[in-house]
Amino acid sequence: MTTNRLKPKQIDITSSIRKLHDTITDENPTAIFKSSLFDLFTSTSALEVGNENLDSSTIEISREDIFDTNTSIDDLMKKFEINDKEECVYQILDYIFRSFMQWIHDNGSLTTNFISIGYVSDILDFYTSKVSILSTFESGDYLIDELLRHFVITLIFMVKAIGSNEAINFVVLEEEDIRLDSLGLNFLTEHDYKDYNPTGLKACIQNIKHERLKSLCGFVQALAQFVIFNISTEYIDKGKVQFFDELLLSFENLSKPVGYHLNRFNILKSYHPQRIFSNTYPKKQIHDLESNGYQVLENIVDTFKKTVNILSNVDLKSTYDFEEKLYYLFTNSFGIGYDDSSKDQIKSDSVVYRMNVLNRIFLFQILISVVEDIFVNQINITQYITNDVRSLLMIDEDTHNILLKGGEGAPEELQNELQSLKQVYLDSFLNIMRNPCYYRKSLSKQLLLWDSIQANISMFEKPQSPDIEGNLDEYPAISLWVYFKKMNHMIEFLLRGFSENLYSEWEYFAIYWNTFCIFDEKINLLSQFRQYNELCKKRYEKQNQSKNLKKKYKDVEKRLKIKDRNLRYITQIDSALANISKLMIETEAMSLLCFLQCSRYIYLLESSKNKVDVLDHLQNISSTFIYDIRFKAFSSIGSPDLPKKNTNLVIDRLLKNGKSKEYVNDCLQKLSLVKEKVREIECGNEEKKLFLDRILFTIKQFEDVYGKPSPSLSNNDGLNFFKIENSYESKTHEFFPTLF
Amino acid sequence: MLSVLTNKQINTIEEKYTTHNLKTTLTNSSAGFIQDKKNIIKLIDNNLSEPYSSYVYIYFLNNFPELCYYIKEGEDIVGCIIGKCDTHKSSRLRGYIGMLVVCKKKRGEQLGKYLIMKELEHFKNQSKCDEVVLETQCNNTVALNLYKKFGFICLKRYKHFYNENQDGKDAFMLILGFTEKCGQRGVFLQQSIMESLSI
Repeated sequence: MTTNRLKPKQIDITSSIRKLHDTITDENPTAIFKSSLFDLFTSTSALEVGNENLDSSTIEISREDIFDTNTSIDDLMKKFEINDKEECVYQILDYIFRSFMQWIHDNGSLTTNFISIGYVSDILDFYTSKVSILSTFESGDYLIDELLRHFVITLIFMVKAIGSNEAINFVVLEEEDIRLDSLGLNFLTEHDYKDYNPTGLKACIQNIKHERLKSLCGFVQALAQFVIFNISTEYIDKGKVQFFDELLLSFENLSKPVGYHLNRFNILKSYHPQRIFSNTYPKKQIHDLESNGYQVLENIVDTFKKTVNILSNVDLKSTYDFEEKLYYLFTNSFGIGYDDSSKDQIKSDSVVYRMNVLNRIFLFQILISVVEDIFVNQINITQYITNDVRSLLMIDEDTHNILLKGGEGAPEELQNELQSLKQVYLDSFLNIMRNPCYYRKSLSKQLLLWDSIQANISMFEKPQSPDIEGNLDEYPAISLWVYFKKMNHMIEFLLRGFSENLYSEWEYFAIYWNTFCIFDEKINLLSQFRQYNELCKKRYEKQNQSKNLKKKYKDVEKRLKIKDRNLRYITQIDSALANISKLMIETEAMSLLCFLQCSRYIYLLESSKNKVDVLDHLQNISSTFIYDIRFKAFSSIGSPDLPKKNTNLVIDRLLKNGKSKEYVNDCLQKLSLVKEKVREIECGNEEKKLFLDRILFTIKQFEDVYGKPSPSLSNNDGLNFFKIENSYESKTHEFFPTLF
Repeated sequence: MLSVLTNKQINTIEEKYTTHNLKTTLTNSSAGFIQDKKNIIKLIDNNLSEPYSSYVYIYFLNNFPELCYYIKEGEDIVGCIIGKCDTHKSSRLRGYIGMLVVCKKKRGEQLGKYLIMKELEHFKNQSKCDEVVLETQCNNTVALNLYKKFGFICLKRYKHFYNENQDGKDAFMLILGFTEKCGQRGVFLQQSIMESLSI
């Protein structure tokens, strides 16, 4: 038989592999067999052929289990007990859409959610084998054969756009964030959505009279248009958001479904696609639909609104605010902890308010463009760095220009460092679009870079002098700003671990204490920044006094120029001082909260029946490498110098000191004062406001629980002494979730 | 590594059961190796929810038989632990516990702890590993508490590590350190290796 590309010769390697496999086992069990017919992976897959645990094609399915897409509308109405034709189609489309939403909402693979629907798998199967779009389901009714068909095709186009864009494998990971998990399927690759759109679902909508059906189809069409045109590389118009108003309008018109039993439509789904389109094993459960599909949708559209609003208000001067707004918008939901106590983790993780993958892909695709240099939202990353430095520190025009030009004019070595700074700055920016687990892992990598950049840049700056006033021009600005960024990353790296449930209860003290030490250093650094800015301000104010200016510059024009420049400097300094004041309040609050947690830990430990067990355990682990591993991300960092392993000594001292209750009360008192300052912070950023509200909420919770005379410890199970009765059935750390 | 079992508990297990190492079995008899390997695979298949491909078994049991300990009661295998060991980031030796199974009727007799202890001792004293890692489902509190008793800590959370498992999807990576190297970043360890080579 002749073999060509179109008619490949099929060879069954399973039997030859099995023969080879059987012949070697008895004589020489560790020997290897090989053949030019197969490689290692093909051979092991071949051994799995027919194995019920491993071979998805052995999934038993009868013809009755597979939904027949030829079913007439009358039969469908009978099957689902719906009298109205259009209402029946509406409910089916609603079910298909919710299944799509369930996939998008992080709840399983495409195969179990979307492709398991007969209407979807038929279209995909047809396209994969014929490379053309199925023209009818042959049900004999327009609503099924045209409307439903186009509805599904539109959703498939969306799947195609989501599965094949640049964000995937960069900030959005297949398997972790989105699971296409389909084998050999073609998601309409040969078709252009731009050509399809006018004649597809869009054209069908005009003929619909049923209001809810019309609004659902209209919304899905608008969502697909918005998503595809803003995330697909071939259609994207960098920096410009397309079809957003249409999306909002259709969402406003979208009728919410009235209560009916969603799960009666489960017969539309089957395990058949798992058998033919996936190599996953064993058979994956087809979960019932969550009822929160429309809440998820609301959250997605709401986040689109906020994101677009932030994107449209950025200019060259306001990058600091822009970044801060996006940071809080995208990371506020990271504080939502994972409930690992539940047996059904898939169900327990269906929290609506986690940042959706669609929002993350959209932001990435709209923001990032690499032209000649690194740009974010059409603004060079050096502009972001310069504005960020200026938001805290007075920098003169020369430094400003060097930063803005990415080091041009500076020594070559410094230029290299500024290039590295650009890379790590961009990566830190992109990090907000990652999932919380990957976000924390990336922080660890970034820390290495922030630390090395700080050390290298500081070599170009004069060491910090205690006499700042006398050395204003030599004050090391950039490396200290890098230090500030580094400390923020360190704090986040530690505190984010709580919402991921990474820490055992006996570790809490070490984590909070080390975080407290970083906060302490951060407060010192901010004080230095303030002092430096105030001195600069005085200097420029003094310089601008008429007699001084006249004495120094005889030329009137030059005098005016200098005066203007100094006034600009003063404005810049005032803005930096205002930022520092806010940061000081936040840092003070967070620092006190950490210290409060440490004092509370000691207090609970003192009252615990398991005190001896815990102390023994802490003593035992001090001879192991546990803390070295826990703080490995900081292993190269010399400054700030953290106690890490020596945290146990602090516990010993605090226990001997016996003042934990006093410290708790003292902290609570101080926090009640700080609370007022937090309330007074003027904040135009709604997302940041949510963060500040969480600080206030946490303080309130601490006051309620810790202010009580004595805790009654209910759980004396080994090292878990932290659980307290009447603490809202929570562990104490849950009152102190990641506050970022 | 923290001691988890008392001498009395260890003696009780050793009096009642026999513990074997697959490498020793292989050295003594090829037939015994084949038979025990088949029974180990059967035990795992019957007790773990996630099925493993034959490649996984070939990889672990043929390449690292010395890191497979199993407990027999008479001729029946009632528990086993499987591991591997290789260089991580070209800088340190990392042990890995792949599977731990104790058959249902023998649970509660500390056999799991005993097998972990044997495996960790091997990693530490014979393989000379710098650290040992493993993954476990985030909501498997029994397994988590067991490993934590030996001094393991959760280092990372892997999102959707288990592909639509019956009751879980995220996993923790747990780690236990044996030498100072476990607390240092790979990049710095590689640098020191290069420096020592150039000297």
